[in-house]
Amino acid sequence: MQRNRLPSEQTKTVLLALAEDPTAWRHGYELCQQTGLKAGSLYPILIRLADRGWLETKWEEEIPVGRPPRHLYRLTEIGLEQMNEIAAEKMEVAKAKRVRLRPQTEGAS
Amino acid sequence: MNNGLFDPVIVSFVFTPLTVTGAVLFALWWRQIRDCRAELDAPGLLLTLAVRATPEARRNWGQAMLAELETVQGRLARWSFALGGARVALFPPSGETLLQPAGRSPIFGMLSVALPPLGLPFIYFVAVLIEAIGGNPLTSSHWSNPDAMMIVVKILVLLTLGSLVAGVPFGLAGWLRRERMRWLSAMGLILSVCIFAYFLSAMRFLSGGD
Repeated sequence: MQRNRLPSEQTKTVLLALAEDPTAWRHGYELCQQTGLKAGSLYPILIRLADRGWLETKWEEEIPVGRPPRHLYRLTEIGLEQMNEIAAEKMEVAKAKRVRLRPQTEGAS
Repeated sequence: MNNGLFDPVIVSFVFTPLTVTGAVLFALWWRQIRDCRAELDAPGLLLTLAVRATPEARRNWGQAMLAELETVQGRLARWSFALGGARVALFPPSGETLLQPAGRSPIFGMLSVALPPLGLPFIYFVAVLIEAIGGNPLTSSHWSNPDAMMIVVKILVLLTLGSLVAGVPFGLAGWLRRERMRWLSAMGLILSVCIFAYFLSAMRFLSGGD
C-alpha cells in the first residue's frame, strides 16, 4: 500500500527544482548538482515520486555513441498540482510568521 | 607492553578469519565483474555489481544510475555518486514490510557475513585499549575498581562470543526471510560455524602452548 506522507524538506527541494521548468526533461546528475543532494538521497526521492505518480520518467531517445541512454524525469500533472499545494502551504506559513512577528516589531519601534 | 598482545602468533590468530573472509568476498566480487573489468573504473565496477543485486522491480533505476555515472566527471564526484547509487541499488525504497514474501534487502545476510570475522579483532583492539589505559585487569593495580573492570571484560567477552556465532541466527533469519542474495545468508551461517570451530581449536592450541 502506498503511504501518503507529507513530503520531506529534501523532497520539496527536488520538487522545486523540477518545477522550475516543468516541461523540460531533467537528468539525475543535473538534479544532484542543482539541489546539492547526493545520489544516495536523490534517487530514493525520485523513485518514491515516480511510485506516487508525481514523476514521469523516460529513457533518452537519441542515444549518443559511446554511452548508454540516460533516464529522464519531469513532473506529471499530479506532481505539479502537489507542487502548487506545497508552494501555497509555504506561502501560508510565511504569512503566518510575518503576522506573528509584526506586533513585536511594532512594539519595539 | 609485555603481555604478548603483539606476538605474531596472537595477531595472526586474531586476524585470520577477517583476512580469509575478505579474500573470499573479493574473489567472489572479482569473478562476478569479470565481464566488465576492462571497461569500467572502480566506481563503475562497484555500482555495476550493486545494480546486479537490485530487485527486478527496481532494476531500471539501477540502470538509470549506471547510465548517469557515465556522465559524471572527476574521481571524487564519481566515487560519491557510485557509493550513493550502490546504497540505493542494494536497498531501494520499496515500502516493503517484514511480512512480504520475497526480494527483501539482504540486511540479515550481510550481518551474518560481517559479524563473525569481526569478533576477534574487536576483542583484540579492546584488549589493547584496556592494556594501554590501565594494564591487565587481572594483574594490574592501576584500576581503581578492578571488580567493575572485570564485569566490563566479561561483557566484552560475551559480546565477542556472540559476534562469532551471530552468523547462525542472522544467516537463518536471512534465509527464511528469502532475502535477495540468499547465498550471503548461507555463507554467513557456514562462516560462523567455521570461525567458532577455528576459535575453539586455536584457543586449545594457544593454551596448550603455554
